[in-house]
Amino acid sequence: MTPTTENAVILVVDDDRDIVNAICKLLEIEGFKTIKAYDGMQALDCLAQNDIQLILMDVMMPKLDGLSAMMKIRQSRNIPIIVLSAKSEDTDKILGLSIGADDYVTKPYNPMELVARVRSNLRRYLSLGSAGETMGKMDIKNGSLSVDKAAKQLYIDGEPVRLTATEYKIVELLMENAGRVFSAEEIYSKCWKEESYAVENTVMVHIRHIREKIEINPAEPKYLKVVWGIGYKIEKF
Amino acid sequence: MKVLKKRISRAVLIAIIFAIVTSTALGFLTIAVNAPETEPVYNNYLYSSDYMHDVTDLYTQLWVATNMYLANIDENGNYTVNEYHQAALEKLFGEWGIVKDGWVVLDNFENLEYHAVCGNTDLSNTDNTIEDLRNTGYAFEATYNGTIYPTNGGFYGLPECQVYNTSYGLTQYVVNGTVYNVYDFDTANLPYYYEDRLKYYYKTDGSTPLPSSDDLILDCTPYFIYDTSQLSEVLGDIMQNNIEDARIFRVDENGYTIALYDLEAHKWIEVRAEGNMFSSPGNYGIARNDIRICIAPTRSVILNYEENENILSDYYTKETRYLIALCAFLAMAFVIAVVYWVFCGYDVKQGRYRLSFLDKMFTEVYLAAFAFLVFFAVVLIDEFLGGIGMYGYWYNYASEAFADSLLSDMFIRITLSAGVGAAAITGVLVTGAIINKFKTKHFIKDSLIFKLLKILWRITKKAFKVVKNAFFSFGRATHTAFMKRFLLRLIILSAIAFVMLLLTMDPEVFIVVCVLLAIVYVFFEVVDAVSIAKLTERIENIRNGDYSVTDVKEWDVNYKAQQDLNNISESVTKVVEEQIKSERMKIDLVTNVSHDLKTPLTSITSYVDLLSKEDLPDEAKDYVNILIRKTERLNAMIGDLFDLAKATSETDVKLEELDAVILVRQVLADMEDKINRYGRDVRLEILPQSVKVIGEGKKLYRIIQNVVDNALKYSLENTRIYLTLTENENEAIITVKNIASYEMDFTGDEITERFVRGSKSRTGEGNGLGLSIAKSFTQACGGSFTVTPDGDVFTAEIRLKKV
Repeated sequence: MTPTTENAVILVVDDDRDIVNAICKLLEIEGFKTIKAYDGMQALDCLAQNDIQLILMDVMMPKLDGLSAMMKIRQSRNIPIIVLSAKSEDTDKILGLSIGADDYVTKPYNPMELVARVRSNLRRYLSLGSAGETMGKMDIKNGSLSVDKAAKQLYIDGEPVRLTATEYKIVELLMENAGRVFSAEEIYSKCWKEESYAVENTVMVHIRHIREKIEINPAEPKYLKVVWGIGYKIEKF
Repeated sequence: MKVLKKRISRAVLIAIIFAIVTSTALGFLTIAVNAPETEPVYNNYLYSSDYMHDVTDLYTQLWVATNMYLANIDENGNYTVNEYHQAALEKLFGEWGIVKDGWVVLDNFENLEYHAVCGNTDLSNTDNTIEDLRNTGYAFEATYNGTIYPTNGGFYGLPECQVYNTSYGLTQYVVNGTVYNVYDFDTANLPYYYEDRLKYYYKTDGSTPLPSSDDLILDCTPYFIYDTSQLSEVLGDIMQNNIEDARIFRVDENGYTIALYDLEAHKWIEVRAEGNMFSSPGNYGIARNDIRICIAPTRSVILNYEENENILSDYYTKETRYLIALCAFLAMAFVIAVVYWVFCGYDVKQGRYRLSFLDKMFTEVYLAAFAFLVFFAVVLIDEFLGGIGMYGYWYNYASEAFADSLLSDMFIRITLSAGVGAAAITGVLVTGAIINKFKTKHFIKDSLIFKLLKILWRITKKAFKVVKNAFFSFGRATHTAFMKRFLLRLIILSAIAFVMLLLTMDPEVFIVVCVLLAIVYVFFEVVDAVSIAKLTERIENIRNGDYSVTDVKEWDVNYKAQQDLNNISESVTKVVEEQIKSERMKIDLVTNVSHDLKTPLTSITSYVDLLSKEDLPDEAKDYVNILIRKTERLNAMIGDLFDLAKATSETDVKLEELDAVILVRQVLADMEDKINRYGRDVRLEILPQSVKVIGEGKKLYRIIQNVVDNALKYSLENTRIYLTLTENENEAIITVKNIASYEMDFTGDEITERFVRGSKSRTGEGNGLGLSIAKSFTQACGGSFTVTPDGDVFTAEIRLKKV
């Protein structure tokens, strides 16, 4: 049976059994299959013995910590790994992501968000082949986001997102210049093609709406970020 | 006295001053109005100098007429003197013009009446008798027995007029002080001598006296011999020298000339005069006892004079009274002034003397004023009081004119009096001030000179101190390695140079040695300079954060300093390391605690979520919802706590340049939903176009968010929140104002403490960390955060540093 997003097997690793149980239960309700592990060594064993599509991994664990386990896994596998950690510092996130994590969720997590992230990562991993075709047509690609300029359509992990015309213009502008910061005036004058005056509010409202559509957790956006006191940008991946 | 002093209050003092002022003003005004008019003018003949001259002239003329002319003429008009005497007299009368052609001529004196009687002749210009003249009391009378002077009027001395008769034919007339010699014999060809520039003729036949050797002025060469044995010698001399005009006198043992030698007859002539040669006619210059001269002013002159005298007398009486009144007034004023001087400056409340507002100026000012007033008074007494004339006597015509002009004008008189009064009051007050300065021992203290001297003394002392410090610091410096070496080198090199000079005594060698030594000295100094340069460089490195230890040779002049720096560097490095370590430990601790809290919280969240998915009774669902909300809040709190701890340790701030205007707009736009939810109106006022500030975007966002959040949570419903952004020179100022929904019983400092909430009940939303995080974050970004509760108005002010 080829694994799909709906019947994927997920390995949940955490030294706190209650948390592992809770997560497994949560994922099972959503229709996933789960395997439990309580430290890094067990996780490696489980990975060797089972066909696993995604790993949820805690960082601080006995015997072998999450980061070390992840490094080992990344030597042979490229399955999505979501780090689940109580460490919420930027430095921790950067470290985790640079070692090989695909996503980083801080404890205590929002169950809905966690599920959404699991889905997102699975979708990207599993539908890579078919996605490849669609992605091939795409004009701009950045992480999970891709833009089809001809269709004026934004995709997240291949899924189309419904945007208004103005929202699309903003996304396209930011995507074309991923990583560059645009001030509200710039965005306004480029997307509205009008003289800009006191447009911060207008632009910000649109940004917020876009964020709600493309971000899993709009409060902690992954792509569309506000650069406080300067402007807005889409993070380059 | 003490009791009395206590009773003298300030009011009494003011009353005294007032009394002085009013009484002085009134007194001087009264005096000015009542002072006598100008002294009457003396225009009578008797006061004039003409009177004296006229009397003198008249008397002289009358004396000459009687004593020289009438006395030498008989009833028939013939001269009773011999022809030689007569000729001499006529010559004199001709010169004087008294006798012309046998008539006596006298000048006409209108104001004088006279009688000059000689025997039966009476020269007169009046019908009044001598008796009448005498009775006026203004007449004087010259007789053989002396002169009777007038009893009234001024006294004038009569000119000197006398006559002397001799037994050998010389009559001497003294007229008005001048002597005239008249001889009864022919003086032609007679020898003469001068005595008092008067020619005395003498005969050598012994009938006239010969001049004495003392006063002899001869027109020949006199020889005086005291012994006849000398004669042949003198004669031989005369012959030998061919002297023509020579006279030889024999002198006795008493010095009197006794004989004259006749050179032609070769015999001695006895020339000695016998007896008293002069006989004086009388004591008062009248030659004969039947001569009487009487002169008196005319009656009208006398009457006018006496009238004048009465007016003057009245004037003097009045003036004396006025002066007495003036003196009395002055005495009274002086007494009041003395009372004032005794009590001035006494403060009843403090029970001691102190300087009043009148006495605050420099002592010299009062002394100068005092000196000026004294000068003014002296001038006034000299010119004015002297001018009024205590005894009618004027000092000089200038002051007479001055006083005259002043006193004649009432306006000037009042003005002058007012001036004098004001001067007197000023004098009293100035003297009082000087006395009070003595009383309070401020006389010296308040003087400008003293103060200047004090300042000078202070400057001197300071200068001395500076010199002393410089001296001592030089002394201390000699103990440092630097100075020690400098002095040692100087001494050694000088000594070597000196010894070389002594040994060789050759200046050329000495100069060469000196140059060599100088080179050596410069070498050492260069070594030292290099060392200092190294030291300076190292201090600069330390300032820039390089605390590395340096190795220095022991002979280096800065060895000790370098070692000290090594120690300092080591200590600093150690301290910094420890600090970093402790900071790291603190963060680790916070991180661990936060992790430890989050792990169980994660379980709770998870299971509550699972629970919410179960099919539960409605009541249970409500409970689960409560659990969800509270866990969310607990999570937020832990996050806040963690942020706060981090901000306080200030390890993680990424300062960047951003625009506060954009920031504020972004944050408000970001919070729009929440603001709408709370239903508050946020009134935004942004004055500048753009303000570039320094800070970390995320933190600044958090700060403004927290403050606005706070305002939303704790503001009264249906009120507005005012957010303003202004700027000054260095800062951007963001102010958020709202009306509190509760009574604010805290201070600005209290509310920014951790876990403090305005309402103490701790039941509402919020965790009490919002403002404290805002404050910590603001400080971490280098700004300042203040909260001011003012009545019901809550103001939060964020000041951010501008670029």
